Amino acid sequence: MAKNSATTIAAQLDEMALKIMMVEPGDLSVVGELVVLVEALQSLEGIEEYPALKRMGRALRVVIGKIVMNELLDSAKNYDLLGQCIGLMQESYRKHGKDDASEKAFTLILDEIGYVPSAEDEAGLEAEVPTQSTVALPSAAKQSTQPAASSVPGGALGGPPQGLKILESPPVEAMEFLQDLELLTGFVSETLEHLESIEVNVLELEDNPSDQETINKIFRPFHTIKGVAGFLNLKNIQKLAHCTENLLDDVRNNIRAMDPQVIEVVLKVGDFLKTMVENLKVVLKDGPEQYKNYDISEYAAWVERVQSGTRAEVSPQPTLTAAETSPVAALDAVEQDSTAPPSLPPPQSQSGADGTAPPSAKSPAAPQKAAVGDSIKVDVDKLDGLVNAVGELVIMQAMVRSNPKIAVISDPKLIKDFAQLGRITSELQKTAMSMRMVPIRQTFQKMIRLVRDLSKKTGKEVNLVMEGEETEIDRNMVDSIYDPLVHMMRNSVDHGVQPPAEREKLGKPRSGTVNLRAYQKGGNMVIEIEDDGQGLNTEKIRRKAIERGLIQETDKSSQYELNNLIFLPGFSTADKITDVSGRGVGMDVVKKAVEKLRGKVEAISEAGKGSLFVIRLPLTMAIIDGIIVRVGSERYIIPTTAIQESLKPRRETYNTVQGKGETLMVRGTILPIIRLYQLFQVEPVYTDPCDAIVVVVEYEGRQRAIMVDELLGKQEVVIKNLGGLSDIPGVAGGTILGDGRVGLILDLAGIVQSHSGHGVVES
Amino acid sequence: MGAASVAVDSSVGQGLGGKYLTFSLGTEEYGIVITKVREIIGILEITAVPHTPDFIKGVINLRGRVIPIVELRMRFGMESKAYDDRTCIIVVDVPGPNGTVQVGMLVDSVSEVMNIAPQDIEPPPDFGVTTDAENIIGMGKIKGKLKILLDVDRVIGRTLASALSSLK
Repeated sequence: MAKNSATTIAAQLDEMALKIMMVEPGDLSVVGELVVLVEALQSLEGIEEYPALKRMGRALRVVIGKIVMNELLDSAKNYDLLGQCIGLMQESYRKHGKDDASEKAFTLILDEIGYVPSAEDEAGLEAEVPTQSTVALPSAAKQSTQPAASSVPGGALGGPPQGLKILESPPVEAMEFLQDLELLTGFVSETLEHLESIEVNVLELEDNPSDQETINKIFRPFHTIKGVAGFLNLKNIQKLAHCTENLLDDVRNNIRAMDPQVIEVVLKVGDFLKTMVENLKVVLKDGPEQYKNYDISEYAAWVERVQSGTRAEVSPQPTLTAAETSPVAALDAVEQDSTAPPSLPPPQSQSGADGTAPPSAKSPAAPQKAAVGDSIKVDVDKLDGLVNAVGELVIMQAMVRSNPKIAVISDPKLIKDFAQLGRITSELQKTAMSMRMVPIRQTFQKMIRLVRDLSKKTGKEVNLVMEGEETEIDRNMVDSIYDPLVHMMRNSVDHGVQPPAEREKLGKPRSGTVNLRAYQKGGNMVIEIEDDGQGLNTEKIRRKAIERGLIQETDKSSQYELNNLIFLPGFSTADKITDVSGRGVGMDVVKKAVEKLRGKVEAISEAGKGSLFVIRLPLTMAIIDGIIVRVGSERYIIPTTAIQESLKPRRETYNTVQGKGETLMVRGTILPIIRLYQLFQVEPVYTDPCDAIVVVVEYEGRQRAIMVDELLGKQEVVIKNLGGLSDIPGVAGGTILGDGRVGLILDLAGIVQSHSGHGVVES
Repeated sequence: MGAASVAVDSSVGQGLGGKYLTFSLGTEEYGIVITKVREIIGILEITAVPHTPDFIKGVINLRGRVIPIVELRMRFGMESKAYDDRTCIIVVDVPGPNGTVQVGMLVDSVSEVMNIAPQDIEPPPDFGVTTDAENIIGMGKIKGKLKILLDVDRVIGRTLASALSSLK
């Protein structure tokens, strides 16, 4: 039990580590997600066994809260420090709280951020926790210091920093956009798509500022967003989209050029709109109390200033209005205290405060469905249902065919029909599978922005060259690959590519190049990230590894092996030895995320020349290529990717060690033998390895010879989970075999680990 | 006096009355709430899953879905019995770690679906330290015969979860 909860804690910490990577100053929505994770960590079962971890989590929660409330600086540096904090929490967890050095270091870092723990914070947090367990961040943070009721009379709460205009949050009945939830859901997903396309087009425009068609492509989605937002009475979004549209209209009519300022406006407004729409998404999920009434006036004024030619010095940060407390909570408070004056203004004054209705409010109100080619949107569940049904059809078809009574019929017509049926079903399967595949383009395109922002921030010049955006990937994997990809891109730009001056000194071109490639190879999707920067410092990695006891002083590991040590947990957290650590979060989170997708990641690097990171992923999560083996009456599937060879051992290659461990000499390498029947407790046919067959597998560079009775063949199998039986050591899942029975798919990570005598990495 | 005792009885059976699917394990008769039951199937070939407790017999293919099978006899510490043509798998919905999962319960034979009135349900007997009693929501009395009414979520759902976490 305890161990189980421990694994979830580890997973939670990993997720936090990934999340902190994604945080950008000014982007509160991601910070909100981070807080949700931290809070979830605090309430995990078994957390009590890690008191230090719990203390750190609590402090972290307070600090993030303060950042949101602008009491602490919302800066990249602070997020970097927070990242180190999370790294320390991982460290503390790994040591099972036995070493309080991490906590001490943790406190020091918090000190650097400018946080001094006070009893008040603690008390505020304690008071808040029971009632606010699931609240998204910003409102929760404010409520922790301000009782909800006091914010009801508008403006009683001190004005937000930067002295912005305070807006009343609308009463729940004024939130008209909630009337048609279906429409709102459509709006949210469509707008997010629009915003993405805007971003991509804007970046394209940076290279080619006068392309009328691209300008139109940016103008139109703003127009659509404005129209639908107006229809749904989302005034904030409508107004912001409207003034940006006006600005773009000038550009379109050649009144002004598409200069960097306009581009900046479009990008920033896009980000802000995204924040607002993401908030709506939360509202749809968790109810109207999550609604945040963002104050857009500053933004709108900025856009208008830009339009009228006034130079705007800095772009404002998205800010919540003071009355961001949820209207529902506010109403509750009013209800509880009936003596409270009805201080909520009528809805009309709300729209009045928003400024006059935009002139073009009469613009098309009905959502304009973006006609993208000839495609239609299909509910994911329906699609999955179809794919499952087709999978069953294929199996059923094979079962009917191999039915002994039917197999003996030698009627040519029947045989021909069966052949036809087989063709149709496999065609159907292929089509169904391909429906789940999407090009990786969207994910790649998000990297353009990332690299642009990163290079601006770090003062480096970086060219991003992308290839193979059309490569298709299972849509279920797209989201999961995004975070690790961001982490690796960040690494390449932050730590790989050197600053321009340094590059010139080294005789390299001023601007560095990061190549992002995707292609299919042998049933795998490969993503490569290559930079021409400084490369990994193998010697430092080696010293660090020796220090950590991972390798011996005398170890003659190759450069490749040493470089790939950076993927081990705890390797690059507490210090910067490897020079490949973003925010103090190790590359192990990347590795774990990739492995979750049944993929592999490796690093190839040459000091001074650059690094290449290769991620290999299966094309789909649903199907694997496997060899079916038999042990006694049971059949198992071994994923082909891990198999190196299979052979019938000869007597002279077989040895025992101390009478227990068994080894086999294969091509000069000594491999430990794993008797699968022993591990899985089934009755085998052969107990002598020389009668049986061994399958040589490799996992994380460790080779093992797995002993089985017989090889039955190679087959693509559809992976199914085992219902409520998950996380069984050595079993990755199940599949339905040709005869309708279930076969288990082996999880080599589990098998190799459960049988590993050495190579234990974690302390 | 009599009225008072009736009141006590009905308060125990409150909310418990309704349709139950009854089945047998050896000489004992059990019942589970019908709404938990998805379907009843005959015995299928079971694939054993390693590193699981004895009472998890393995997994079956239920029309393309893989579901685990719990042998109820072993779950209750009773002797296992050879399968015959009366052996059945009752597929039930139970809460799993990520939402509802389907699990098959292997039983000796399925009897019938019967309506049990609230006043016919008594609280579970006190067996002292026997912890398994907490799987029982009540005892149904039908025509002088006792039906042990099981809480499926506990018997299957919770055991499955704790059994799996302990094996790590």
